[in-house]
Amino acid sequence: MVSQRFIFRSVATAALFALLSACGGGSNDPIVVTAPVTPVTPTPAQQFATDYSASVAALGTTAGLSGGAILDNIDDGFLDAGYTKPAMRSQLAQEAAARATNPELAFPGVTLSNIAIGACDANGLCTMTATLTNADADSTSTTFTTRVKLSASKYRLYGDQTQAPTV
Amino acid sequence: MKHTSFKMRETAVALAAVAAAALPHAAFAADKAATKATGTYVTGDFHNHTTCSDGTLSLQKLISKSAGTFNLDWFVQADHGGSSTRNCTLAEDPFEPVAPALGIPAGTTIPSNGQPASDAKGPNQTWEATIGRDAIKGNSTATPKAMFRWQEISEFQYPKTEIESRNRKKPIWIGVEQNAPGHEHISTTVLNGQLPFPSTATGGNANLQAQYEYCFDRSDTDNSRGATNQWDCSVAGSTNNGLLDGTARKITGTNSASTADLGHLKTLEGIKWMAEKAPDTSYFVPAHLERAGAYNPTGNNGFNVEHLRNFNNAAPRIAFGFESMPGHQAEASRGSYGTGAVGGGTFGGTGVYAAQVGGVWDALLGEGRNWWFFGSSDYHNRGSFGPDQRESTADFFPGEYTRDFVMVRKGRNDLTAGGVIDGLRSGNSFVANGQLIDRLSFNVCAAHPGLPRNAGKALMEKAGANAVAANGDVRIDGCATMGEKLVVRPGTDLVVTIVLRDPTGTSNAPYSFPNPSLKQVNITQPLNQPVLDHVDVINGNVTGYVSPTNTARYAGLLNSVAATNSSAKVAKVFNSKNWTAAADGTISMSYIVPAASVSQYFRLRGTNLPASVPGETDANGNPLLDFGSSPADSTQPGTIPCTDAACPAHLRTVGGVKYSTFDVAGWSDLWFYSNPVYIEVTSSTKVAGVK
Repeated sequence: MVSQRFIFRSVATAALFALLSACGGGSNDPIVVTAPVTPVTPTPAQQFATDYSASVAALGTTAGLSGGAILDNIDDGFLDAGYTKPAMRSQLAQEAAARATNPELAFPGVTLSNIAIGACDANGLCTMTATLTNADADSTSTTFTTRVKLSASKYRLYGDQTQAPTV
Repeated sequence: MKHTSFKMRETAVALAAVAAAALPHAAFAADKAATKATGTYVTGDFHNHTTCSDGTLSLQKLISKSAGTFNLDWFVQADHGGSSTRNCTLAEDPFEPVAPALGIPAGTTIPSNGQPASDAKGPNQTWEATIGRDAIKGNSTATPKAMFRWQEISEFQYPKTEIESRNRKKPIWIGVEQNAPGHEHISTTVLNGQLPFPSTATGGNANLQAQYEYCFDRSDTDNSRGATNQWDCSVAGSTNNGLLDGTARKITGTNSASTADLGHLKTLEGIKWMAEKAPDTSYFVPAHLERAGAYNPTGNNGFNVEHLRNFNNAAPRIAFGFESMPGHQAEASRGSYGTGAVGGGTFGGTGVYAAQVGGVWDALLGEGRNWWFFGSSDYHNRGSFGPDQRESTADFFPGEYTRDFVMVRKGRNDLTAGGVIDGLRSGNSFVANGQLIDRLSFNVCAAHPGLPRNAGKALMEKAGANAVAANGDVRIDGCATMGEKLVVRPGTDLVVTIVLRDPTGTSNAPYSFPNPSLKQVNITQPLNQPVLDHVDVINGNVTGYVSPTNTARYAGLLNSVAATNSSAKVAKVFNSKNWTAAADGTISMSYIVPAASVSQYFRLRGTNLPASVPGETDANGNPLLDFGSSPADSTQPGTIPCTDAACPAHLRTVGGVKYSTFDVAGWSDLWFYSNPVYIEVTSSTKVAGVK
């Protein structure tokens, strides 16, 4: 059973490498490291937070949409209210292609922060909470919860494993 | 009067419509969030009456009730066109008592007293008695002499209205409920020249509004050209200027056996005149448009779908919607709709053109038109009660029951009349009866492809909740709200988000006994504390404008192909089982529509009544014909008994049984309607009515 609990703060873009320390030794208190003196190897949770938040932020550009970096952070078994990894891949490709000819197309731009992963079970399935923010005109922030899966020392988004609700 | 052959006039109408269809349409796009000024939903009403037409109050008292007692943010005083004998600018004596409300304690909604309407005092005195016969202009010869509305507006009502507006620090201005040639009534404004609050300038006037009334009201039979004004009613470049009467300088006829469709043509000329004289500050909104029955080419009756299309084609920035939710909501025949109305009456207080899913409104939205829904109070009187009593067997005051909530992007500036008209034109508005809801945020967004579904929904629900708390709207790129369109690629998943507020406390209803309609289904709910039961999301496809030459799809009666959108349906129902309610009355709900493939729209309606309430709603939650629950024939039993001991004495009573009628029926059966959010799929039909 994975008993570690990682709480850390991620930044809006991958370029900004703010490191937050994962706790160890049974402590659940977040520890924030703002300026490491020497580089440290990020934990899997830290790495996921950095990569996922950066890849989400990158989706505001055509390059980000077509690059597919976000898919590296999505488990092959991802299922969320009927939304699957193949569906996400398809959506990204379609959006990238469409914006090539119509740059005015948009979906709400967001940044992720305050990612926390915990409550992991023996299968490596954990609960992730995060803050989602849009700052187009009136800043809107909200928290959400989903599931991630630890596999081969890498966390990936796993979703709530539910099918689409009936309309 | 010059006569024109039927064929010639038909051709003229058709040509006008065809030519107008080529005009660019109104532009109300989902602008970039950063470019949208902050906005606020403001409440108002644009269709009510004084003794200057067939109302019962002075102009001052009507404004006091509207902007004072019921605290509307804006108000348009709009009497009928034509002429009248009474001087509505003479206020009631505030110290003359009237009968108290029957058995109902005085509350905050009871202002000062005043004379009963039947006494020849205050605003019931005649123009002739108060200013002298010689001061009344125009060609009236009756005794007492009637004053034409153009003179009432320009010389008497406007100055008083401007004073009221500035004293109350609210935009209050003059409009006209036009007796439209070839039709029944239209709510209109020509604002140019009027200087209501916040203006402090001198020289304000409603001369252009007065001229519109002279030129285009069916009941204005004056031929004086506005006396010294010497108005001419021609429209620049119009091929119909040749129809103007040589003396009156206006088209003097209307629909008749010998001049079929002439009235409709004249009404179209009026819209074109507005577009020429005041393109940004006019509106033309057909009122209670089902009431007078279907259109009659040889009479002045109602409107068919083709007439609404003609209006919108003629000037989409001016003719942009209808009052399918009429006033007179406390009458025995709700809305004052009799069996001769299209649809046979109202449905939950709304005319069949908007109440019927897949009907006339959906047909217009299915073209992608900017055609918006409005309501009004149409206040005339309170039937068997006085104006200061809280019961009513006829009308509700502006703001008491029906309210238009209109988004005005004024930032930190004062609310202006022009801003309100821009808001009406934008379609970012909704209408609610009986304080069922008082805040609404309704958005459709492109789903973020990289997020878990609940994350994107949570963000939009939070944005909606913030907007509801601020009484504003959501400003996020990739989203559109009412009156706007969201352009997406085919296959885009959509997030439909609704956040609204069911206000806490009591409504304006004076009754606290259980709602008799709900009592039938074993729900006990005080009549003055309505609770939203559910919200329907109505969805229909957009297939593009119909050409006037496509007569089968352009023109027709209710339920014809032309007046139908077969794709429209209730796509989703939200209620307490699948929405999230907060303690302050804020209710949030959202869902995802996968893979949009065609252009479409979403609109909302909601009610305090669940499905299958006898006499009120069918099994699918659609409103039933109101006429059946409050028949005008007083010998017939009603359908919904009012059995509580507190049910008032004025309810219709048959065989010792009181029935839910009049104001009680109105307070029992509450609805709200939103305007649509359009989705334009890039590979599909263009939503041409919205830029």
